[in-house]
Amino acid sequence: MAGRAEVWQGTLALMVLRTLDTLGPLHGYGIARRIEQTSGDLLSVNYGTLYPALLKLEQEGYIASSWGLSDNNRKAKFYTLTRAGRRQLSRAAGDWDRTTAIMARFMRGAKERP
Amino acid sequence: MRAARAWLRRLAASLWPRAQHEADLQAEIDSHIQLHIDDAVRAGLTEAEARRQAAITFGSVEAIKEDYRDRRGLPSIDSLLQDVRYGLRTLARQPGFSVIALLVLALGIGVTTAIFSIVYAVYLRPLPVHAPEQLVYIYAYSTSTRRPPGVLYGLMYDRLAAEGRAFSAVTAHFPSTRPVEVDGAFESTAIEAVRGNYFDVLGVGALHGRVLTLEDDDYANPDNAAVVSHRLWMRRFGGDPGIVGREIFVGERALTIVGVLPRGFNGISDPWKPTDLYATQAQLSGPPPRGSTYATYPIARLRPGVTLERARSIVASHDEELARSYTRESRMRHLVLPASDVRMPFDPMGKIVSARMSGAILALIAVVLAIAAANVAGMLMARGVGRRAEIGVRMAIGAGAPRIARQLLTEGLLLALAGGLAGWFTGWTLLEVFRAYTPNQFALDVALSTPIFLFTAGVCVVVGLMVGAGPALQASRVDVLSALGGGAQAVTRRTRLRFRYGIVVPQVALSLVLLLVAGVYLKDLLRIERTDLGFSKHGSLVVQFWLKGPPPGMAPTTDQRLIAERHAERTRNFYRNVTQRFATMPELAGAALSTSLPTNYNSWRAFTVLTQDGRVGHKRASDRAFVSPGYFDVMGIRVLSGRAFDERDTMTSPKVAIVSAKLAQLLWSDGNAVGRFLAFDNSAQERTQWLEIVGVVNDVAPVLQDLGDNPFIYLPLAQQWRMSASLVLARPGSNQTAAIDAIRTAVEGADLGASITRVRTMEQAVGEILYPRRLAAAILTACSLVGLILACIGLYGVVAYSMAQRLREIGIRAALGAGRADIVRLVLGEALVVLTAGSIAGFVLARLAMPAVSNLVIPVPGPDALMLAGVPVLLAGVVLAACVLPARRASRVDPVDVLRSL
Repeated sequence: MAGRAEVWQGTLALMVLRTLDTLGPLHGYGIARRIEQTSGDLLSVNYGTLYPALLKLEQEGYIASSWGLSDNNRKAKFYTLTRAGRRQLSRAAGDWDRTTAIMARFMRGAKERP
Repeated sequence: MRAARAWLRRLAASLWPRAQHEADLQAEIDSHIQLHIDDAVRAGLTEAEARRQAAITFGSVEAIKEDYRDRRGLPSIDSLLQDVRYGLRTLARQPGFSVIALLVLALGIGVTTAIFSIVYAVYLRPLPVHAPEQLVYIYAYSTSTRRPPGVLYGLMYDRLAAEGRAFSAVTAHFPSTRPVEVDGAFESTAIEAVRGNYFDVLGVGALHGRVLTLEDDDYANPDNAAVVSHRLWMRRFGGDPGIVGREIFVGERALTIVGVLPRGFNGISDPWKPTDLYATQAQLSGPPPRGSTYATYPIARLRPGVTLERARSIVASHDEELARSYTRESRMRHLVLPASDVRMPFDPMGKIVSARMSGAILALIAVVLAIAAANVAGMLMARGVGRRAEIGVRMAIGAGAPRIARQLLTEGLLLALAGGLAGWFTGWTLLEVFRAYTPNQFALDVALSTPIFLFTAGVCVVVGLMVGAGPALQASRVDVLSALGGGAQAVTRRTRLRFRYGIVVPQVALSLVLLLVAGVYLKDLLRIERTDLGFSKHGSLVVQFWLKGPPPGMAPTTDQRLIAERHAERTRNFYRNVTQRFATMPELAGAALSTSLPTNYNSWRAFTVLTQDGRVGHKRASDRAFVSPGYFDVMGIRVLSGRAFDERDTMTSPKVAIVSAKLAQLLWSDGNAVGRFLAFDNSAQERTQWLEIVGVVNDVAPVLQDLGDNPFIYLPLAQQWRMSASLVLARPGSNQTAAIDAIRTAVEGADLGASITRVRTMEQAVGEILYPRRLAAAILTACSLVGLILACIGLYGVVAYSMAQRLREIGIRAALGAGRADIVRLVLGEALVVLTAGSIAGFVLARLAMPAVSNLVIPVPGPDALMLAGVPVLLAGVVLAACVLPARRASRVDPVDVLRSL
């Protein structure tokens, strides 16, 4: 695991929403694997952060949970994006795009200074 | 919005039982690890290796669960609930301790809640008027007599009303009790004769109809307006919405109800006595006789920005002008008192200031509460010693000192909350008792209202913190190693002493102060109750009646003179009739008629007396009453010289009078009044009406006013042209109820228009006057008794605790040969130290407090030797009683047991 970065503070919720939006209902393990895979195994998900984050999203009403069966017939708790979650995702994604654009411009500007 | 939703769900999760949440979380973690294992096995690992990998990757399950729990509920509430559950378990484990602690708190909080609601009703509840802080009352007193301040007359009233500097408005009222008739039934009713602008100045509107206006000040106004209270409306009219326009009689005077006042407005002249009817002075008594004015008590509203001191100096400047005017008012001075001071017990000379009174009672409450809280804290701390091991264990496995302290504070608050609930019930019960013993004309609203609830809730929190703080501090000093090492003896002698003195000595001291103050006050009350007033306070009946005119069967007339003559004749017939009936009734041992009772003094009833010597300065103000023969017998007033009134005194016989010894002494230095003459310095007619003094009787004094003997003149009812007696005074035979029925039969049989309006015993009549004093004495006594009981319980707890701590020491002493007496002496010695230290502190405190109480709150005499000696003896008895059980227990310690446990 050495050398892999932890998920940045505050971005985990967005990643979870994005993952659920892309893959549909998914359990906690699946979400964690998906985030790690998407990052090309550069990120590691701390479960002590992931599960409270899922709980927080559920408490805020962005996702809902229910028990179901996994592909290989294991009992698992599946998380689903709610309508409010979908709205929140598009809003947060927009914010994120703007933030990264600003950061990128800023970093570029700093580099170009003579 | 989302945050609020999340917070609510976390709150719900905190309050929900955890078991299901925990199972759900465990299942999710299990499934997570299982999915991981499945993946790993699919990737080619062995089952065992996969399980190992999954476990490593997942990390510490417990740590994750802990993080998860913090997010699931609200951590602060979770730990609070945990503390509460733990606290409840602890309390349930020691039911005996919990019950005693609860009793102490219920008693302390209950008594203070009840007293606070009385204080609130009497002193603190705002007057039901607009901006009550601007209202002032004005009283007049004469520089030449030591009469209590009283009414104002016209000249000064007009000046005040025209005064533009100090007051924005001035109005006036004059309270009295009159027979009021509704549908033929009379009832003695508290009424106010007011100026038309009364309600306007107070800022009070009508619930139905209208209030009085300045137009009602005109005697000729055909409205004949009267306004009634909500109380009267409900009681006598059943809340009939069609009440406006109905006729109501105040004595002879027919008035028309024009409005009903809102509920809760019970009048402001005296918060104890609700006023039920208001009409203007002009409507009630007609225009004032020529050359005189109404007697009134003015109420004024301060102009915005004018201070009380400024208003007082402006009124004083008027006094100075009047002093040079050679009018009736030239010797009058005027007091300006804020409305908040005009409460019971009211003393216009300012010896009793209600703000200080309420402050003193609230301080009293605080003392009782402090004793109760200190007690329970002491008991908790005593128990805290037994919990050292437990607390040590909790600290050893990682509970920080703040967490332990919070746990103990929670336990204190829990106790206080439970005590508060029980106390609320206790207070409610006490108030029920209070209401049951309140004379019905004192409509003091002592209901448990919102302010009272807030007070009790606040008290619970403060007491809880006080109760919890001691043990919390104690616990924060627990040394884990020694607590776990089995050495529960780590308490040094110094901390033990500090603990003992810190908790018990103040209790003993405060109990002593409370007992002394209550004792002194009770003694003063007893002095007043036992004072020989010159008349008998026991056994007689006071029956008020009313003669309604005009008599039936007579031709109506508008000739005032004829009306007056008919009235006089009718009343004379009535008196003769009724006294003859009384004389034949075996149910009555004696009965007489009178215009007034000597129990209280009214400045407006006093008359100036002239003697025939006519010397300047020989005028004396004197109270007077018109009485029938037999009055002195019924009242127990002795005839010192001459004779009492009898059948010889009639309309046609020479006019006579009887004077009190004091008046005889004042008028003639030899006191020899019989055969001499006097007249009233009133109207021209009365000044020439010389009355021969036929007798001198012993002095009478008003019940409470500390005026000493009141100069008094008695005149025979039979010789009066205008008749106004309204009281039957009677000594019942063997049966009081039969006597009341007999009086009713006699009164109602003697005249068709006569009816009884009120029946009291003389004890009740006197009791109404003494009521505030008796109430204050009851409050003080209750406080000091509760304080004493609490101190006793506290002492017991502390001595028992101290003994438990010294068990080993006692065992060793016993093993080394100390006898039971030595052990008992050891315990008592401890108690004696506490008692001595507490008494000394108490006496010092009392020495400082009593003069302050006497000067600032209510004048009471200093404690006498008996009390100074008796109170410590009483305390010593209580202390000893508290030590009996611990001493017995200590003397039975088996040294073998103790030595084995070492």
